[in-house]
Amino acid sequence: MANRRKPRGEDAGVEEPDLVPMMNLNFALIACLLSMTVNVPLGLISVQAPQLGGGGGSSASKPEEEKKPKLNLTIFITRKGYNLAASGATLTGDNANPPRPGQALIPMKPNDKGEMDYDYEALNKKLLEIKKNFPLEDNVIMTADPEVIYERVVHTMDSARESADGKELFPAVAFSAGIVG
Amino acid sequence: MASENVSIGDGSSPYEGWPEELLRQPDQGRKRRAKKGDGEKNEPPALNSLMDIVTIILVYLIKSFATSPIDVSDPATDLPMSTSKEKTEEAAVVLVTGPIRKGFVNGQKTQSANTPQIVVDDMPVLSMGPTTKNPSAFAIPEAELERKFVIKKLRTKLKEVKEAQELTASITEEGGFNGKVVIIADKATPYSLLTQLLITCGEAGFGEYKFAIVRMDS
Repeated sequence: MANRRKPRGEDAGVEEPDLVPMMNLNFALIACLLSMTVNVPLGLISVQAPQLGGGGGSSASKPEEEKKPKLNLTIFITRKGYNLAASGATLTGDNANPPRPGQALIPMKPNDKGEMDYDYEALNKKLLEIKKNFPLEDNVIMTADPEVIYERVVHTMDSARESADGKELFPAVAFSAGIVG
Repeated sequence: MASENVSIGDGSSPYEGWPEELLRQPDQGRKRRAKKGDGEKNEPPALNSLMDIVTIILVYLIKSFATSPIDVSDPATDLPMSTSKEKTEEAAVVLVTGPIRKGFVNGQKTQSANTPQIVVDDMPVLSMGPTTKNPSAFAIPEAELERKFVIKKLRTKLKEVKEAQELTASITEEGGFNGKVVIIADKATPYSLLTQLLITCGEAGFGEYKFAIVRMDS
């Protein structure tokens, strides 16, 4: 009977599984996932659009709001700069120095790279002035020349969303189909 | 004891060095070290802790990969940056690729020309290019347009996506068609194409429009 006893070493514990193949597989999976993952923080900008027909439409307006006179603030992104309009009339800006016919209310200016770009700061200041007079208004309509690029449209929307000190201006942007000629 | 018979530096005789009995044999240490080394070689390295770390990293990566509703891995699409803080959400995706494809060859950045395309849920729908009336790289052939604003192929594809979403919702009894569409456009996309895309999405039955951007705050 005594001879049938197992030696001490065998009884000490179960052998550990070989984890090296599993490690290899895990490392390969991590490498694959990292190569597929784009480490870019993505975000969204909600906009409203004119519809020729159809569409669910998320902008259900209340009847009370319809009775209020609307500002209809519109930003025109032209080849020469920004023009602003409200309630059907074009804003002329400073009465002492009104823009000449054909000239933009906020003309383009050279940026840091020396290229002509839109004056986002001046637009932001102008919209802040308008917001002070219409604190409840949130909507802005945006229209642009056909060749104005998306990047500049996005920067314009950023300038219209909030002021430099973080105050909300006109976050609800609606695109207009009527393209400036 | 042998050491009792050995006199060590008691001053009775000149110092003759350590006696041989007290000195280690030349091969003795080497043998001991060799024996110890052999034993370590046979033991597998302890991988348990490392395995835990690697598994946690793997789970984290899979989770973050699965919860990202928008993926912009196309090297021909360069998104603009924005201060918007709105987060990404699940929606139908319309992608507009740009005219330049960026890449890496031998560790160096390269740029090559690309034909801009409209892609819906990873399926190419329409290629764009200069036409006789419009020299822009993003011009859409007139035969593909209806009432100047509606892109016919895109509308057809989006209607298919809408039907698929509704069918999935009817089978799974979860969610449903929410009318949301995300437009991922290259930063060089002209405004005229943006309005055409928005109007076409509206024609196909989508009512909530969102533009994808790269958040500037991070």
